[in-house]
Amino acid sequence: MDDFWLIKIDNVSKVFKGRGMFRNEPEVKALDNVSLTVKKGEVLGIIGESGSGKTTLGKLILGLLKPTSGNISFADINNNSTENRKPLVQVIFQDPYDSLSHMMTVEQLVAEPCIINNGKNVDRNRIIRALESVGLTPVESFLRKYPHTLSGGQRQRVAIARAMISEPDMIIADEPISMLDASIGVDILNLMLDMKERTGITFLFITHDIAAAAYISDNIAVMKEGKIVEYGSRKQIISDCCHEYTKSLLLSATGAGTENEYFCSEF
Amino acid sequence: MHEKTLFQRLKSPKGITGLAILCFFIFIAVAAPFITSYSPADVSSSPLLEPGSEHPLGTDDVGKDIFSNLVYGSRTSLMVALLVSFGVLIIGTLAGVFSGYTGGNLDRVMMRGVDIFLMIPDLPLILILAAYLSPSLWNIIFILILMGWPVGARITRAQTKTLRVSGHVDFARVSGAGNWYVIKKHIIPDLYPIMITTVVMQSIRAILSESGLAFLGLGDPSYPSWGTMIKYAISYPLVFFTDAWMWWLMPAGLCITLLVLSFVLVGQALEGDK
Repeated sequence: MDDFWLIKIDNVSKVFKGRGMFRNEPEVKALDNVSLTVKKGEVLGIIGESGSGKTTLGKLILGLLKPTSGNISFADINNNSTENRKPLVQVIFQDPYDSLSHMMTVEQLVAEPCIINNGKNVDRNRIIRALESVGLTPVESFLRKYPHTLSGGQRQRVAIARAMISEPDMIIADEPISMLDASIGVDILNLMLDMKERTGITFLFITHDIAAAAYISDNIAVMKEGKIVEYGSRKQIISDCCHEYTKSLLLSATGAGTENEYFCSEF
Repeated sequence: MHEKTLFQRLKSPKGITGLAILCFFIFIAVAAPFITSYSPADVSSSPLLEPGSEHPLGTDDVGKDIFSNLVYGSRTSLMVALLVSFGVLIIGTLAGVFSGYTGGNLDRVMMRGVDIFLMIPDLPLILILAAYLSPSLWNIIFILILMGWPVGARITRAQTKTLRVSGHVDFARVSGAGNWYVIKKHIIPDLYPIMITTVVMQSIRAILSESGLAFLGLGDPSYPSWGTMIKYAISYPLVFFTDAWMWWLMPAGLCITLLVLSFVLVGQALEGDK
């Protein structure tokens, strides 16, 4: 895999100001001078406890939030060497119950990114292919279903199909398996790895589960209290980490026993 | 909670009963000229006739046919209900979505304005305004919309605020959707259940207020109204000494009750009661 960078995050900070009418509530520093480079074609795992700012980082890259200071730059991509464009970033959210509008059918949900960008005419075959690629078969039986008739795993598959259909250069997966059963979570992780193999897509995998991150990621960044405390390849982080916090995360993951079988089998 | 389930909910016994009564009144209102041959303002008959073949419910003290007043009264009630509920729905939804979606200081200012409207007691203000402005049906509709929209705006705004930060809206934004697309495809459809409840509740309020105002003599004399009928029946001194109340007073009261009941039943069915 070539070592070109896709996204460079440069000294980014994000502060949430306290909003009180009479007294000012304390400011929350969600991100504190974070610098990170996402390389093209890699799976970058970001792990950390809740409140460590990993979701904020994802939202900043997506453009849903504006950084207080610092800069996020995107690489220019030229496939046909004629025109440069910004990399297309898509997202898979944590909560598959909240992220799919319950007023739309699966077909409408998956078609949505295309409709937003290209107007009304969407190639139906493309939707069918996208659903097939995430393993929702037979596709015909799913097209007319509403999300509330689907299981959590199926919903998350719809969310992946929806993110993949616009052929993005990068997908930010914000804790995609934390609301799913362990076994279904592994299926989703395998699906994501499979996607990466086939399309060479870049993944930013945000999680609190170091075992899942170790299973899927090429490189791992460990976050704590808005800072990146450790960054390295998977091997480095798992076998010879130096930071106390990473050690405690690893200890809790291995200590949990059989629950994390995919972690144990890797190492 | 998509449309299909709303339709299924209406299929409960309550929903069917409510819809049947409502359709009955709508049919009467539409087919009024074919049901009765008398105009509601026609005073040519002799007064205080008992029910007979000429006049199914007799005549009142000035010689109007009571049955035709009853039939044409449904037009007034349904028209007021329709206009008020949709007026409140449109203004309330627009204001609520706009306020909730924009957020920030504009939202705060708008909601304080709504608070002021909500603090004013409805009925006294309606009485004052109805008495101050000329007694016309359009004024009553205007006042009812004016006093009703803040309720709709408040509920809509609360829902919009939660929807604005939900995952599916975030996803649409990431995919490049603009504000207009998000409102049209992600916020308005999620408000359908609230909108339907608003229409039902405001219809009930409009029917009762219109009848109440007419009963107090603040209605529009040029439109036949069930409230006006009750008012004249009660002010006729001998209505309870003869049997006249049975065909003069009671049918109008019964009609108001039934129409309101139909809306209540439909509303309860839509909320999921069996």
